[in-house]
Amino acid sequence: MSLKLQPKKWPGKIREVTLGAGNRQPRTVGGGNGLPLHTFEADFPHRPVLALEVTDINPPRWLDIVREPWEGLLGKPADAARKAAEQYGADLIMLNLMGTHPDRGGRSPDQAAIDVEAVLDAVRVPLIVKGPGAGAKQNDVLARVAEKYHGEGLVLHSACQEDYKTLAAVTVAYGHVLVSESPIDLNIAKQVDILLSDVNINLDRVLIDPLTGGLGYGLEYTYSVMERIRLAALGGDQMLNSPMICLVGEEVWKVKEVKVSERQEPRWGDQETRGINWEVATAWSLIEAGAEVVVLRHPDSLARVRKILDAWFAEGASNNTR
Amino acid sequence: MSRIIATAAIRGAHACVARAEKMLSETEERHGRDKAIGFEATAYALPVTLALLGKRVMRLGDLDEVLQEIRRWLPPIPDSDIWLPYLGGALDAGAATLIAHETVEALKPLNGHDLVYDYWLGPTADGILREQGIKLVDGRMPGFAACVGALPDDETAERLARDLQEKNILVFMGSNTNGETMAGQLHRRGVDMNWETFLVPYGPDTSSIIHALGFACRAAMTFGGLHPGGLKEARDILMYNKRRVFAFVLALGDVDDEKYATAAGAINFGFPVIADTDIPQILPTGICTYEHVVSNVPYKEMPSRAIEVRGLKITSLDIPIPVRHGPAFEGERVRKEDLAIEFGSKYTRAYEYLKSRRMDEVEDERIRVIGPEIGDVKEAAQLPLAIFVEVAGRKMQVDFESILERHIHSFLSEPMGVMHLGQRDTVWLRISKKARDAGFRIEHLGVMLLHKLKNDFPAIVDKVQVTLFTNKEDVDQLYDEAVAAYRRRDERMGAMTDESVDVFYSCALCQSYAPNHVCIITPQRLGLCGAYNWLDGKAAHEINPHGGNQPVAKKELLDPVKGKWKGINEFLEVATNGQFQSFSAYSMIDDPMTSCGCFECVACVLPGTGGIMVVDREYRGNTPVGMNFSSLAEITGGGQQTPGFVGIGTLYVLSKKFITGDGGLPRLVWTTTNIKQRLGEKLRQRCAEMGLPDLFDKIADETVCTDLEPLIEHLAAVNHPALGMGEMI
Amino acid sequence: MALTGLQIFKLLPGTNCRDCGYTTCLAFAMKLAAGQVSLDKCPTASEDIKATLGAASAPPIRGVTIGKGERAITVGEETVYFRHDKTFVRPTGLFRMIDPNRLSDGEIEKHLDDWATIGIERAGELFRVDGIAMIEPAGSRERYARLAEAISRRGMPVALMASTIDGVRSAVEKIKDQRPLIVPSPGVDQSPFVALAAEFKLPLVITGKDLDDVAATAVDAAKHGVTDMLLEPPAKDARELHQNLSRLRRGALDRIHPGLGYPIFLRVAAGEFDKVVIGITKFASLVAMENAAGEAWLPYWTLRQNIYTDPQKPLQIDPSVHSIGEPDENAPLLVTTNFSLTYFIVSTELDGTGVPSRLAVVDAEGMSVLTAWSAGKFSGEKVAKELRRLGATEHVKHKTVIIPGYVSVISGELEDALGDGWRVLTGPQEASDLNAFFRDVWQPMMNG
Repeated sequence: MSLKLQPKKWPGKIREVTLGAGNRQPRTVGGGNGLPLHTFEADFPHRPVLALEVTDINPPRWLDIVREPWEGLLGKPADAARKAAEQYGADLIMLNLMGTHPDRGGRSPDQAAIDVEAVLDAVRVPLIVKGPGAGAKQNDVLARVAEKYHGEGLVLHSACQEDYKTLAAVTVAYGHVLVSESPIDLNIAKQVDILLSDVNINLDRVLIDPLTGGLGYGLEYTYSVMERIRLAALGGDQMLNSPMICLVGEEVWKVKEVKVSERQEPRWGDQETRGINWEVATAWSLIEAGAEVVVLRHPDSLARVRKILDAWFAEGASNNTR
Repeated sequence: MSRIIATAAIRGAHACVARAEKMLSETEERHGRDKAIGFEATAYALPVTLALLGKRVMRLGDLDEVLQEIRRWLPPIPDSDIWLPYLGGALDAGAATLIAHETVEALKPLNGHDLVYDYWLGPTADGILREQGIKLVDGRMPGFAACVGALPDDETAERLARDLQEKNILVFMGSNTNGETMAGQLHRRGVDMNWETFLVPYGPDTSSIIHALGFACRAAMTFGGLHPGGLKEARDILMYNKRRVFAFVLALGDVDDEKYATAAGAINFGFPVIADTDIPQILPTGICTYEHVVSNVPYKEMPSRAIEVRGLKITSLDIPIPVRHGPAFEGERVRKEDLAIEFGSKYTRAYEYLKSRRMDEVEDERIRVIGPEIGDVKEAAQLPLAIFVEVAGRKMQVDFESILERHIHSFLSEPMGVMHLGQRDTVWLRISKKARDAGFRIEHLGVMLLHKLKNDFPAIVDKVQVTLFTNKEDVDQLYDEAVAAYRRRDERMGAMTDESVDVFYSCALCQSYAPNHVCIITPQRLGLCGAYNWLDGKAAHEINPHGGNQPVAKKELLDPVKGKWKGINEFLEVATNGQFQSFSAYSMIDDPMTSCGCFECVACVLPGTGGIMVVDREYRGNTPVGMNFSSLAEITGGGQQTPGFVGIGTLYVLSKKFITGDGGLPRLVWTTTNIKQRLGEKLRQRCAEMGLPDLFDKIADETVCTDLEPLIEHLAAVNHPALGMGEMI
Repeated sequence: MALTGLQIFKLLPGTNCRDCGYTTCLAFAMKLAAGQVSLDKCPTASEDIKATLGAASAPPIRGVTIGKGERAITVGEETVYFRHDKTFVRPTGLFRMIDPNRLSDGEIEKHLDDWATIGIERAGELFRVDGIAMIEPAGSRERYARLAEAISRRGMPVALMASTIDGVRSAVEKIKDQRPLIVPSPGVDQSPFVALAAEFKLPLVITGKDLDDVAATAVDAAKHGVTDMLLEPPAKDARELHQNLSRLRRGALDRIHPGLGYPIFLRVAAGEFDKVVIGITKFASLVAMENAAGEAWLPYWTLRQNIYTDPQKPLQIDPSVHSIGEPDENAPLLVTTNFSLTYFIVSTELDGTGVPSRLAVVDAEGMSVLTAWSAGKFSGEKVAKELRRLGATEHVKHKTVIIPGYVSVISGELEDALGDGWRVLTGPQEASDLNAFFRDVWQPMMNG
C-alpha cells in the first residue's frame, strides 16, 4: 500500500519585498506559499538571501576569529563591502553604523552619510543600514541617510513599537524598506506592522525582525515565534506576512561558547570552527523557522550556508517538485 | 454649519475666484499662456492645486482649466430668506477659495509683486519641508497654527507667539486685520522670525495663508506616500492631514467674507478655527475631530483651547522637578533619620483621590498647595495630606478614575528621595532631607503627577489639575467625598453584570506563550491571571487601540445557561487562527475557555463527587484527582480547550456567574487553604447569599484529605450539596 | 478526530485502581489524551474500550528504548509538528560512530574510556555522548561481539551498524540484555535482520529506497514480530533529508499509514554538519555521526537543548554565585533570577563590559525577573535570603548589591532585609546598558 502524502496547502503566502532600487541590483525576497524550505509541497519564487556585516568604525569588541577575514578593512566600510560582495559572495551588505552610538564615538549623521555613500559607490548589491539602536540618534542618522540616498531602496534597521513614525515617514518619502522590530513577540510584531500600515507604509516595503536569540541564548524563543509568525501569515494574516530578517552574526560572536579557547576548554574543540559552526547552526535553524534575510559576520559561515541553499534551490528558485 | 458663516464663506469664495480669474486673464494678456509659472524650490508645482485636482500647473494656460473647474464647485450665494442645506456647499466653496488663493499667489511675481520681501518669507522650499514637515508627521512637533490677521497690540501678539513657541507649535502667519499684521507686530517687538524660531510669516494678504496649506499638502504627499490624482486621492490627502497633521487656524480680529471662505477651506483638512471675536460657533463634530469653529476665545487661552479642540497631544520629555527621577528610584526607602516631612501611615490622615471632570472644569497644569509647604514646618513634621487630582479628557470616563489613580503610587515613587506606599486612604508618603535640600517641595508631587499622567495616558488625559491639601480642615472636608468615591467604584464593578454590557474584552497578551489562547473578560469573569477585569480591558483598549485588549461585541445570545454568544464565537475563531469556534463563559465542561499558562488557579472536575476542585498556583501538594498543580497546569495550559479543566482567576469563584452552566458554586467540593484564606469572609457571604450558609465549611481542603476516596467519604459525612447534583460528565 | 480526556475517561472502568500508576482514572485519561501513555497500561480496560479507542489511544509515534540502565535512551513519543504546539519530548539521541576497520582495539578502548566520561553541564542539562554506533569490522564476528561488549561495559547504549547477519548475530548474542539497536546497512536484504530483531525482541532500523518502501517494510517487520523500530529515510542531500523527515513526521501524526509511527534514525558522514542541524530541528530521533569533534558536538548539544526545551517550562540554571572574569572584593555584585535566558544574557553582557564582577543567580523557579517579581519569587526578602544562602554577601567589601532595573521597587525591602549596612543599587533595565551603568554610576560611586 502506498503512502498518500498530501501536499499541505495554505490560504496565505508571504509578501514579496524588493530590497534595493535605483543603482542597486534589486533582490526580491518572500513570495513562498508554504512552510519554510518545504520545497516539496509549496512554491518559493525567491530563495533566502545572505548578507555580511561591515562596520563604520573598527569594532571594539569583535573576536580575532571574525576580524581576521576583514584584516585591514575594519572601519573601512567601502573596502569591506567590496570584498564582501565580490570575494565572499554576499547577496547584500549590512552597514552597521555602530560608530554613531554616543558610547562609541557618536559619529554625526553627516559622517554616517559619507560612509553610506562610500559603500553605495563600492558595490551594486542592496544595502541594509543599521542605526545605533532605538532613540533619537537612530532617527537622526537613518533619516539623514534615507533622505540623502533616496531611491536606493535601502533597508533601514529598524523601527519599533515605541518609535516608528520618523523612519516610517522617510521610508515612504524616499522609497526605502523598513525593518519592523519586535521583542520575540508575535503580537507586538503584528502591532508594529499595523502601526506602520496606519502611517501609510505599504507593507510590501517592510521586513520583520523578530529579534534573534543566538544558539544557546534564546534561539528556541526566536525559532518558535518565527514559526508562529509564518503560520499566521500562511493562514492569511495580512499583518504578519512580511518576510523576516535575522541579525545572526552580532548575536553569535559575543557568546561564551565562541569566546572560550580550546586551551581553556579542550572538550569544546577548535575555537575557530566552533564559532563558525555556531553561526551556521543559528543561521540554518532560523532559515528553517522562516528567515528570508540572514545577516552574518564570518564569510566562511556565509559560504557554508550558501552552499546548502545553492544545492537546495539548484533547479531554480521555484522548486515545486511535487 | 452656521448659515451665517456658510453664506459669508460662499460669498467670499465667489469674490476670491472672480479675483483670481481677473488676475489670470490680465497676466495671460501680458505674458501669454505659455509663460512658466510656479513657486520656487518645489517639485510640487502649485501644491494645493496638485493635491486637490491632481493637476500639475506648469504654465499660465494650465490655470484656465483649473479656474473653470473650481468655478463649477461654487454654489450659488444663498438667499437670506431661503433655507438651504449648506455644509457641503460651503466646504466646496472653501476648497475653491484655496485654489483661487494659490492662483493669486502664483501670479503675483509675474505682476511685479515679490512673495519674499521685508520679513515675509513666502512659500516654503521642499528642503525645509523635508526637514521640518517630517517633525509634524512623526510627532516631534505637535502641530502648526495658521494665524490669520493681527492682534489688538504688539505685546499681545508677542505673548501669543511665545505661548505657541513654548509648546513647540509651529507658527505660520498671514493675512491682516485692517492692514495690521501679526508678523508686523512681532517685527516691531524685535522678535526673530524664521524657520529656526518656528515663527514663519508668509505674507500680508489673506491669500498668502495658502502656503501653510501647501506645506500640509506636501507633507502628506511626501511622508504619507500619497499620489495626487482624482477625487479619491484628494480625499486621502485631506484625511491624512486630519489624522496626522495637527494644525489649526487662529482667526485674529474681524473676520470678513474672504477669511470665512478661507476658513471653510481649512476645515476640509480637519483644521478647526479658533477665533477671538464673537463669530457664530460651529460645534458639532463632522469634518474636524471635534468642533469646527470656536469663537470668543481670550488670547491667553487660545493655545490651550486650540490644543484641546484639535486634539493635540503635548508630552514633556523633561519633568521640571529638582531631583532625579525614574523607575530606578521606585522602591527606595526614606528612613526616619533622613526624613524631612511625612504624611499618612498611622500618624496623620493621607489619601489620594482622582476625579474626572468636564473639560471646562479643569484648569490645565494648575498645581496648588493649600496648607503648609515643606519649608513652613519643622524637620520631620507629620502633616495630613490629600492629593486631589482632577482630570479631564475628550475620552476620559468615570470608569478610568480608579485605573489612573492606581498609577499615582508608581508616579510618586519615581522622584529620588520620595517614598510612597499604599493607595487610596492608606497612603504613607515621605520626603527626604536630601530631596528637600535639592529644592523639592510638596508642590513637585503635583508636577510629577501632572506630567506623568499626560505622558503615559495621552489617549485619555487632556487636562490635569492637582491640588495638594496639607491642612487638617481641608483634608477632612474632602475625605468623605473620596471615601464615597472609593465605595462607589467598588460597588460599580461588583454590580456590573454580563447582561448589562454589549461588549466583552479580549486579552491576547499571553499569545506569546500559548499561541491560540485568548481570554474573554466579562464583567463577571475576570481574566484567568487575576490581573485584568473588564474595566481594565476597556481602559487598556482606549489607551492603546491596537493593543492586546479588543472589544468584542456579544451579539446574539446563543445559550444563556452556558454563556455563549454569536459575536464572541466569531471573534474566537479569528483570534485563535481557526482553532476554536465556540466558547462558554459559564461552563468548564462544554467548550471551556482556553488557558494560557498564567492562571491563578486550576478548576478541575472530580468524578465520583459530582463536584470540582480549585487549586492555586502556590499549592505544592497532591490533590484528590491525583495530580499536583504543575501536572494539572500542564494538562490545562498551552492554549487548548480541555473539557473538565480550566484556568481561572481566584476571584471568579466569588462571581455570581461562577460555572453556573455546570451548577455553580455548590459544585465546589475541594480547594486549598490558601484559597480559603484569601476568599475568606467573602466566600462565606457568597455561600450565604445562595442560601447555603454552611457550604463554606463543607468544602474540603488539604487538611481534610488529598485523596479521592476519603474526600467522597468526607462529602457524604458533611452532606455536601454536590453529591446530590449528579455527575457533571 | 482525537478524543478529549473526558471522553476517554468515560470509557475507562472508573475504578481508580491505580494499577496504571496514576491515582485516578481521570489522571490516566488525561495522559492518554495527551498521547503520553498507552492504553495497555490499564489492566481492566475491556475489549470494547480498546476497540473504541483503537489506534487513537496509542501515541502516534512509538517510544523505543535503546540500552539498559542509567544511560538507556528512549526516543519517539512525539505528538506535534511544531514545538510551540506542545513540546518535543524525547531529545534526539546523538551517537558517535566508530569504524573498527580503521582503528585498533586499543585505540577504540581509549576512545570509549574518553567518550564515556564526557559530561558538559549546561543550564541544568548534562551533555553526554548518548551512545556508540559500532560499524561491523570486516572479517571478524568475534571482534564485533567483543567491541559491542566493550561499549556495554561502560554503560553506553549500542547501535550495531551491521553489514552481515552473522556478524550482528554474534554481537547481539553477547549483549542481548543491553537492548542494542540493530542497524542493517542500507540496501541489504532486511528479512534476516527482521527475524533477528524479532527473535531477541530488539529494536531495529528499517531502511528503504523511498518512504513507501520504508513504511511497507516496517509493516512487514511488525507482522514478523518486531515491535520496536526506527525508520531511516533516504537522505542523499540536505534537501531530500528535510523533505523526508518532514513527511515522515506529518504522516505519523496524521496516522496515514501504520508503518510511519516510529522514531527516525539518521546516519551522517564526517563534515555533514548541516544534516545534523536539520536532523535535530526537524524530527530525527537518533543520529549516528562519523568523526565529529567538540567544535561540532557543542553546537549540536546546545541546539538540541534549545529545540527540546518545553516552551511552557523555561530552562533553569542552578542558583549560585558566578564569577565573571577574576573579581576581587571591590568588584560589583549583581543579582538576577535563575531563568536560563536571563542568566545567559546578563552574563554575556557582563562579560562584554570587561569589568570583573559577580553575578548571584538566585532561585526564582526559572522565571524571568519581572515574572518572578510579580509571582513573589523575587521579593526583597527572598532575594536577601538567597544572597545569604549562596554566600554572595561574603565576597565583597563594599556591601552593595546591584538589582535589575525592572525591580527597583524591591530596593527598599531588600536593603531592610539585608540589614547590616547593605546598600541596594538599581541597575539598568536592559543588560545591554550595563557597560554605561558601570561607567556612569558604579565607577564614580566607588571612586567616591
